[in-house]
Formats: sequence, structure tokens, C-alpha cells
Amino acid sequence: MASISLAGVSVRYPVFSPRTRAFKSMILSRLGGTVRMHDDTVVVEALSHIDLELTDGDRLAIVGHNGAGKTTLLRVISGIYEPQQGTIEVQGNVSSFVDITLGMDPEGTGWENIVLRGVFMGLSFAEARALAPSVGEFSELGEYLDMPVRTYSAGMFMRLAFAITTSVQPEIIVMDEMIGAGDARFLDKAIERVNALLGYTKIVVLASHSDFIVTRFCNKALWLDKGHVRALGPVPEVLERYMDTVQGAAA
Amino acid sequence: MDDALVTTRPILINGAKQGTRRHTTARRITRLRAGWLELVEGAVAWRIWHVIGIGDLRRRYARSRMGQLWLTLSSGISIAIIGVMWALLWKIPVSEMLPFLAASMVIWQLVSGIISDATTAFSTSAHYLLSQRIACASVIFALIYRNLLVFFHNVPIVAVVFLVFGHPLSLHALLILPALALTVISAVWWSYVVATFCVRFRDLVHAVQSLLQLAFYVTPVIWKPEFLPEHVRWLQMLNPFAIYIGILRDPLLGEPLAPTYWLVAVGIAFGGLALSLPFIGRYRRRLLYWV
Repeated sequence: MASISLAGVSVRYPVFSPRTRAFKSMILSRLGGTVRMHDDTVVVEALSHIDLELTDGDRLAIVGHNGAGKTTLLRVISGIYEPQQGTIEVQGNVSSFVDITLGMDPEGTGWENIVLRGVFMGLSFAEARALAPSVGEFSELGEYLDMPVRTYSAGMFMRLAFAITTSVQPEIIVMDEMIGAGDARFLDKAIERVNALLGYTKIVVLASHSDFIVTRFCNKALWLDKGHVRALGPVPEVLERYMDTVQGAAA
Repeated sequence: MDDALVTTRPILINGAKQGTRRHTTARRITRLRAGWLELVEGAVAWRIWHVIGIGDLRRRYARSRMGQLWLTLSSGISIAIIGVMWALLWKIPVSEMLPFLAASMVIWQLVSGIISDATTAFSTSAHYLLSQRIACASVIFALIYRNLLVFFHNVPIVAVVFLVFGHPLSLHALLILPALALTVISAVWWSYVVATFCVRFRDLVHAVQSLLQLAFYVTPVIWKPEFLPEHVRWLQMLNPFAIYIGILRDPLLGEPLAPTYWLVAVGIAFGGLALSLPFIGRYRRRLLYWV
């Protein structure tokens, strides 16, 4: 069983700058988090008092404006940031899909990159090499796999990264925007693959700006606003309240 | 103080092995233990630092015909030129100066390379560290590993120079192995601490690089320790660079080395490690807010 449990989690970033004060006004205008001064240092309160319980079958969407704390929350769940306050407990192996090209080397061939990316996903060299033929086949890159990846088009590169990343089944997936790859023809295949992968994943946490994606893939939504939870519950209700304020602000 | 406990246990999913990660800030552990666990987490992920370390070198020499042979070639050329120049300037036979200089320069490159790379270790790896959970120690291990690889590319230069000038190697030379082990232990804690300070106070990047320049002149790298007047020679014991250059080089040259050197080197390696573990434990995740 996989579970994610956050209780009273708060994260504060110090923002250091040689000219802290001049910097403050700039940050205030750009970032959403609560900004305050502390001993001449700008402190951004990126998350404050987040409570969250997720268990098998939960597909959580995190919605909110830019700078609302979505990425910070994903990093807390991935174990990158440790909160200054509160407790977090994660059971199950977390796979971060925040950058699905992480570990890949443009100078290496396609085959070499399958192994490199596999290692970053926690595979051994032997396991990654064993996975290579099926990854190569799925990517449809054929003879290009023997070429350095820097010769690939952006689309081909993403196709390879997608093929490797979706070849390992984790228990928990953390994503910043839905992953996808390729042209229209490959897209159908990719969607099918994502569906299968997410279907077997016990918990999915997805930050997204697309209400289509959120409605399509998630059964729970968390609305973050300036580091605070504004709403948490079923997708339609949370999205409706979120959209109301977005349109309210625009009107 | 809240700290994480991380345990990794392999499980099989769809035939692919992955680690199960359980971490909780509710478990309170001491900073000392947290520091130790950080180094263990980094070391266990050896595939990551192996891949990062090799990748850095490979990218640097990618698409050049001679590839990483350039590592050996460029050090070889500068050693030959400086060796001949020095022999002329100081009126010492080339056969005496060049073996000394070859060993010295190769070792200095290892020691200074590690410290220099440590200043930017976390800032240049920010993308790795912020995209998925990777122990910051892995990045430190990667830079030490990379510098050791460069060192082993340079060892043939020393071998060739020793052969050409008929410099004898005694069993004493085997002391290079414990010397390298001590160097790595010192490099781990020292690099971690320097990298953490440098990511918090960016001015230190330049300060450390300048100090490194200075250290080159006050350390017997291109001059011999006995060039110093006798009454100030003890000052060398206060210079950690001189200590480490000494224990790494003198076994190769077959020159007797005062046991004090070894004692100080052991003290620096283990004393420093013990003192820095609580520091590492305290900042190992906090430093990610600064990168």
C-alpha cells in the first residue's frame, strides 16, 4: 500500500541577494507567496500549514496560479525539500516525472541514453539494458538509436525520453504538467501508454494548468493560493470554485 | 529539530527493481546521524555519481579526435616545459627536477581540482537536485570521482618520466594507496562543507579560487620543501596542502617523510569528518533552498 501524509507542512524560502531591499519590491510583484522581511532577508512563505492525506487510488490535481506553491509542494512530496514545520510521511517509491529527460546526455547515442535515463530512474545497468529493446521499439526511432542524441529533432528527443520514463512502473508518480510526446500519430500511442502506466500507479500527484487534463486524469483536486489550501475535494467542485475566482479576477 | 529518516529496500515491480522510500520528518534523529545517513544515501546511489562523473568528462572532450587523451597530453606538455625551465633556472639536473615535478603537478591537479570543483558543485547540479530526490552527497562523490579519473589519466605521465630518467620505485610507493584513501576521506567532508558555504555565500566561490592560487605558491609543488630555510620549514605542518602533497608524493619519489605528516593527515581526515557530520546533517536539505 502506498500513502502520502502531510500534516501542518510549511515551507519558507530565504531569498538572498546582495541588494536585498531593492530585490524585495521585485519579488513582491512577481511571486504569489507571502513575502516578508526577516533580518534583512526576504523570506517567501511558499507553503503554509498544508494538510493532505492520499492513499491507493488517489489521483490528485494541484491547481493554482503561477507562484501559488505547486512546484514547491511537488518537491516536498518527492522528498527534495524538507519542510521547516510539520511532518510528512511517504510510503512507496516516488518517481518524479518533473523532468523526463533528467540524466540524458546529448553526446550519447539513443541506446546509451536509455541506460543513462534508466539509472536516474533507479534501475541497475543490467536492468536498464534489458529494458532497452522494448524502449527502442516503442520510440520508433529505429536506426537513429545508434546516432548521438544531439542529432535528434526536439520531437524525437522527447519521444525517446517519454519511452524510457514510462517503461518503469513506480508506486507514486509526481508530475509537473502532463507528460506527452510527439506528433499526432505518436500521440495516440503515448496517451494509451500514459493511461496504462497511471492505471497501475497507486498514487498520482499532478500539477496542471489545464482543466481538461485535470478532469480527464484526476479524482481529487487541491487548490493552492499563495501557499495556502483554498479548497480540497472532488475535481468538479474545486475546479468550479477556482474557475469562479479566475473569471472574477478577469472580469 | 525535524529530520528525515530514509531507508531503501529493493522491491520488484514489473520485473524492474526499485527502491521503496519512506521518509518522515516526524522521526527525530540527531544531526550527527543525519549527516552520516546523507553520506550513506549518496554512496549507495553510486550509479548516479558514476554516470554524472563520467558524463562530465565525456562532454568536455566530445567530438574531439583525441578525446580524453587531451587530459594526459595537456598535463604532460606543461610538466615537460616547466621541468626544463626550472632545471635551467635553478641549475638543477633535469633528471632530478622532472620526476619531482611530474609527481608534484599531477598530485596538485588532483587536490586543487577537487577544491575548485567543490565551490560550484551544488549550483551547477541544481537541476539534478531539484528535479528528483538525489542526495547532495552524490554530487560531491561525482566531483571527487571525476577528479580521480583525471588523476589516473595523468599517472602514465609520471610513469613515463620515471622510466625515462631511470627513477627507481621501491615498495615504499605502495603508501600511495593509504594516502589516496585519506585524501578521499578529507575530500568528502571538505568538499561538502565548502560547497554548502559557497552556495549560500556566492562571494566565497571567488574567494576560495583565489586562495587556491595563493596555496599553490606557499605549497611545495614546483619547489622542493628543502628550498625553504631550515628555521621556517616547520610552517609546512600548518599547511594542509603541504601535508597532503607530502603523503601523496614522497612515497612515489622514495623520499623519507616524517611520521608527523601521516599523523596530521589522519587527524585532518577523521577529525574533520567527525566535526562536519553534524553540519552536513543540518544543512543537507536546507541547502536546496539556496541553490
